[in-house]
Amino acid sequence: MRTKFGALVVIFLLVLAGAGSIGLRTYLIKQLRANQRSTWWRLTYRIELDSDKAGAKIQVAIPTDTPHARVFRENLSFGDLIASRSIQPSGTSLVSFSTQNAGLHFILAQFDLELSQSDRAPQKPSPEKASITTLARYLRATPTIQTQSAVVQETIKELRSERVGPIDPVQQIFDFCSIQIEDDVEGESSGDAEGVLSDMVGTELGRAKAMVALCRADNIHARVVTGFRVGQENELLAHHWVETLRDKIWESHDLQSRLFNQLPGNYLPIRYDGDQLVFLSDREGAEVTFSLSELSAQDAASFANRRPAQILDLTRLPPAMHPVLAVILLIPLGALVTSIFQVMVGIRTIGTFSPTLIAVSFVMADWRTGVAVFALVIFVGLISRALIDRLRLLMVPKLSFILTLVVVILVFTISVLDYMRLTPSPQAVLLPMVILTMTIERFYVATAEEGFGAAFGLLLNTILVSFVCFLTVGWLQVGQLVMAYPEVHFFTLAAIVFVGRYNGYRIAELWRFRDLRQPEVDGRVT
Amino acid sequence: MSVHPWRFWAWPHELRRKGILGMNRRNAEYILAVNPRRNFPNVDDKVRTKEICQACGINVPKTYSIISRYGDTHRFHELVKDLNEFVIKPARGSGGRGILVVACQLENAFMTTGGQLLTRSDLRTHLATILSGLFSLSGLPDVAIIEERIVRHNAFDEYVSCGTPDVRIILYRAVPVMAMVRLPTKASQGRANLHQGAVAAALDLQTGCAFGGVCKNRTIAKHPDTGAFIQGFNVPQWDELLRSAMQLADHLGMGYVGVDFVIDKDKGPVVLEANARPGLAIQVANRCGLLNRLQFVDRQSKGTLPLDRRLAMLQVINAIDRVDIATSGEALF
Repeated sequence: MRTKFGALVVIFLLVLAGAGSIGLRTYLIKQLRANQRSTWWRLTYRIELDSDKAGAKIQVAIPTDTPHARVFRENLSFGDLIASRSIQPSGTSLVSFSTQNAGLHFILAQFDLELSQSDRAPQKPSPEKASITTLARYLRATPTIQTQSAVVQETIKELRSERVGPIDPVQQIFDFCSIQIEDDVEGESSGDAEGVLSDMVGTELGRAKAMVALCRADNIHARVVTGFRVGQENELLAHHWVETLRDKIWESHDLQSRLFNQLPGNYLPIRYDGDQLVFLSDREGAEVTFSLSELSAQDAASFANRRPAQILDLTRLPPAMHPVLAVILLIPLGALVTSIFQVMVGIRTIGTFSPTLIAVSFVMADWRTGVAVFALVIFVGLISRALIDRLRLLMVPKLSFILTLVVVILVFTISVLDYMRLTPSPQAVLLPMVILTMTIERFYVATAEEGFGAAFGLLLNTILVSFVCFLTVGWLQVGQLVMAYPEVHFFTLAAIVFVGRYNGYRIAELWRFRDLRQPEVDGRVT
Repeated sequence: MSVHPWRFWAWPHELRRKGILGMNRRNAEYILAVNPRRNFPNVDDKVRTKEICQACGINVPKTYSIISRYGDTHRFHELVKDLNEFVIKPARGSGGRGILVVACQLENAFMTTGGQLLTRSDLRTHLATILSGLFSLSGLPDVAIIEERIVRHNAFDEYVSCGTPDVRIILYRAVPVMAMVRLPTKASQGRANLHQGAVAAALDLQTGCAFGGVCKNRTIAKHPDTGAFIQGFNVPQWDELLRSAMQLADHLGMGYVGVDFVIDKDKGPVVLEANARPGLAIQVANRCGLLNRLQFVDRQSKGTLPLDRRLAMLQVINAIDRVDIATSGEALF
């Protein structure tokens, strides 16, 4: 009774483990698929600082995690400089370096980034939680964003007058700045908002400042964002775009690319409410270069994407291994079918797991070729076995002899089928040759000891069980399921425990003991 | 007339009602439960079984030689040169597989009981096959036993025309619960193998008297070769056989065991082998199930009972298939 209860508990736990594992894997597969659309980059800052005194300061804005980007490694090299980190109220992450002596100083900063390009919706930006004082910064006038200047006020007044019906003021200002203001490719125009709006021509930064100035003049919180557009390897220049606050959420707009409200995942914001990534406290000379290089998935995986959970993902293994893994994973299902036939049906076969292995080999090969080769090997093997009986070989050499024959027959059968243009499957050679050898030997011995009828019955049983195993393991959906979810075998184990604890009558016994079902009746005993 | 003559199967509830023991239940509730794995060699290895029998004073066929190495097969002729008849059998064989009975030795050949003529080379090959483990229960290398051929008791002469009948007793907790005698036929080629067509006759546990017979799963009254009525045949020296079986079961350390005897013309009951997984065909021969009898023994005691008490239980066990005493739940002894 206790054992029976124990078995039920084991079955329950196995089913639970199976369901849990499948749930976990489903989640992991989603994660992994998302990661498969990621790219990995190395952003490098090279800064040469020429300071004529000790205590000179340089501040560097560095990348942080965003809904699209993840910084998974950083490496800062700054010699004898003193470094300290801080986060600005705007959210910009800064590293401040101060010199201890005069002279030339080198700073090398490397940031390894994972950039998500997935189709899934990007993580929603978190609402702005800044205080009223901080938010007031995004409405103020600065030396280059002159919100109170006449040209700015005039322009916004004109834009307001054009608003008829439900027009989004941000969109209107964006359209104005991106379409009406000419793009200054040469970079000779004024860099401030007033100059740009006066000349109606501006650089990327100038137009961004003009838009921010117009938004602030219209009482809309706005800021310039400086960062990079990740996508091509090379030395790169900082890029500038605009963010405006709507319902506590910052919306991004790129005037140069004419992208309103939502920017692609390759926009990497680094500094908010500022147009420089590296800025000095004094007028020391500094030479700054930024470069970007793409990391191979393998390099990146070695430290960015490698997670222990991946061990459970068999699909990540090289595709060449998949067929072999699929076969290995199907064997337990064949074993379950064999157990059911042995324990519940009561069918005797030649060799306990021969049907399973034969069925798996038929799944791998084309089944028609498999059956043809199987039949021929058994037929010729039995004739050969009868002939070599006269040689009186010892057991192991005798089996080796038959095995050699099986191999030769197998290879030449494939050759013959090919010659006859019957397109044999090269996988037919995967027929379990040792199993076939033992099948031939046991069939022969069974014929001698129990008669041909009994031996043939055993062979038929073996073929029947093999056929059912074949139908089970050859079911395409089953193969795909087991490959994707090897945890299915928790259910297989539960089923095997159930079959193992079955102590009812076998179906064959219902026939075997049929005469015992009722009391003896007159006339039966002859 | 049968109630359902057209139905060629029995429903599980019908078999349960008759107390038929199925293979799965036999394995799970009896063999696994009361046969410790460490004691299996006592029955699987005939050499060890013989040693146990000899230590208890139970008759076994005389062992002429044991061949355990391939090299010894070349000495085979020397080993049997003085023997006119003998038996070669694998020590770990089952179901009679690999047993060769030589009835007489000619100048350069041996004649089997089936009339087949074999050369020395044939026998050496057979010995080598036994040693390789082809007939072995686990498929592992085996040893070959050359032993005396049992000459069947005269009492069987009018019942069988060829071969040697044997008697199987199933013992549970060393209590005999069911018995049958297997009578070879021409169809079974002189072997007492039910699969091949030998006759099985149920035996009364108290008297050793046969009642009814079964051949190939069908009930028969007469032996198909000799035409002798099976009912009423008495196994000679039954009491001695019964006591030997119980004594052996005590020493084998197996709770559920089948013991096979042959009745030798001179020695009387001789143990051929013991079996830790005795087949269930004995139920067909007895026309009743084992289950109620096994449950009855369980209700009497979980330990080993004295010999006389076990003998006294036979009267009740015999009646179990006729009167449903087993379901009363009362311990009678």
